[in-house]
Amino acid sequence: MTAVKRDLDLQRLLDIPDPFEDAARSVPPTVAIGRRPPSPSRSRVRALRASAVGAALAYDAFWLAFFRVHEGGRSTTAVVVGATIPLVAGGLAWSAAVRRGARGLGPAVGRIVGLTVSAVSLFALGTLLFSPVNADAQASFWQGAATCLIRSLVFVAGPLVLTALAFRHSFAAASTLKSASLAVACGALAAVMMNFVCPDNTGFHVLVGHGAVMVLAGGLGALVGRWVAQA
Amino acid sequence: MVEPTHNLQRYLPVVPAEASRTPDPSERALDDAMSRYAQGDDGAFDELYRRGAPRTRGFLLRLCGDPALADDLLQEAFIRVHRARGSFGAGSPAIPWILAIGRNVFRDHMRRARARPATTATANGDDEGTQPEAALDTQGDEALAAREMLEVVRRTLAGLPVLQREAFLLLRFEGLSVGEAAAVLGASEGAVKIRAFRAYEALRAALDDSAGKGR
Repeated sequence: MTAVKRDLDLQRLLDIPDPFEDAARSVPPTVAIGRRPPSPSRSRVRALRASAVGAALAYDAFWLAFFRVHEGGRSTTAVVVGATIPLVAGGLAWSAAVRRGARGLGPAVGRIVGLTVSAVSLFALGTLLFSPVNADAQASFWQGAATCLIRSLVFVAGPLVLTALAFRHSFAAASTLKSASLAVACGALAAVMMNFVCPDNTGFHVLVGHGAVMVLAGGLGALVGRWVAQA
Repeated sequence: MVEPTHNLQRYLPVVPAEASRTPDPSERALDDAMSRYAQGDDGAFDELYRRGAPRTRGFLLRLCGDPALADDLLQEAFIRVHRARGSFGAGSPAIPWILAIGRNVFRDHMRRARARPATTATANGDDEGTQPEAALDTQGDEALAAREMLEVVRRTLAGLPVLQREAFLLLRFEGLSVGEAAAVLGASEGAVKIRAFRAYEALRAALDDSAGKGR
């Protein structure tokens, strides 16, 4: 199949005649203008998305106050690093979805997949590299991870809903992949919040308790993306 | 007697090669209309529709094979263009974006048709009433052969998997580059080339088979 990839092969498509040449030339019926529902202009869409980001941060700030920011036990550097890693990962995933691309249809699918997988990988590798290793395996590991996972699901719920509203009917192409990328970014924001709430910053706990939400949210985004975000 | 297909090339439309694709003034006017419409200028819709609808309808017609269905899908496509106008990127080409929406409309229609197979027999171009039309100004054997050839193409296109059909149509009839077609279809360029080439092979084989039988 390598021969197919040569541009020369595309010229051969011209051999095939167009069976609908005349039918395709006929004048299309006029669209019923009165039936058009209201739709936001570009500036309103921008404003809507900015509002959604603001509202998502406010939502997470509320839950941050509710769960209470963890005090003491960790250095400022550890807290900053713990927040920076998911923040960068989220930025990568977000950019995969919202970049315009050369043709206005977003980046190439390979790039979307690459950036999204890189975001999750960056979080996993960064966490394992910069977080302390569990000194001793605790029996309560899964219990602690499950508690944090539930809290991270609370943190991600609001941003997911707001993002879905802000990007409703937005993607003309690759809506499933782009929705997954946006959802991964929302998961990364939840991981940032968990860094402030949870006192346990050991590698595997952060990975499972704080980071699994990125994968779960991404899966959900991929599942519902076509219905929500497809133009 | 049906002539071999290569003798009929003079009746066939010429499409620009991939490398030579550049936006013509009409396409630039369409881009401008879409851009104004995305900015909230409702008055630009008429020009957008006038310039964009014929090409979108052509794409949908070739996809579904049914003129009446293509008209319905076109209406739905432009409703969606209207709904999503705020997401259209400033300075982007309009045609790939509109065709991508048209493709979404068609695929959604196909999904609905699969869910209600008894009521949508024409979705795959299985309709008996739709006949291919060709720009023929000749009579006799050549005209008959050309008409027969177009019928073979229509039937084979209708029987192709949708992924192959849409890739082939975008490259062959809509004049998109491989990169544009890949962006419209949400696939890699390599995948688009392979799909289009497989469609081409199926169509070529059907035409050769038809020409062989005619001799």
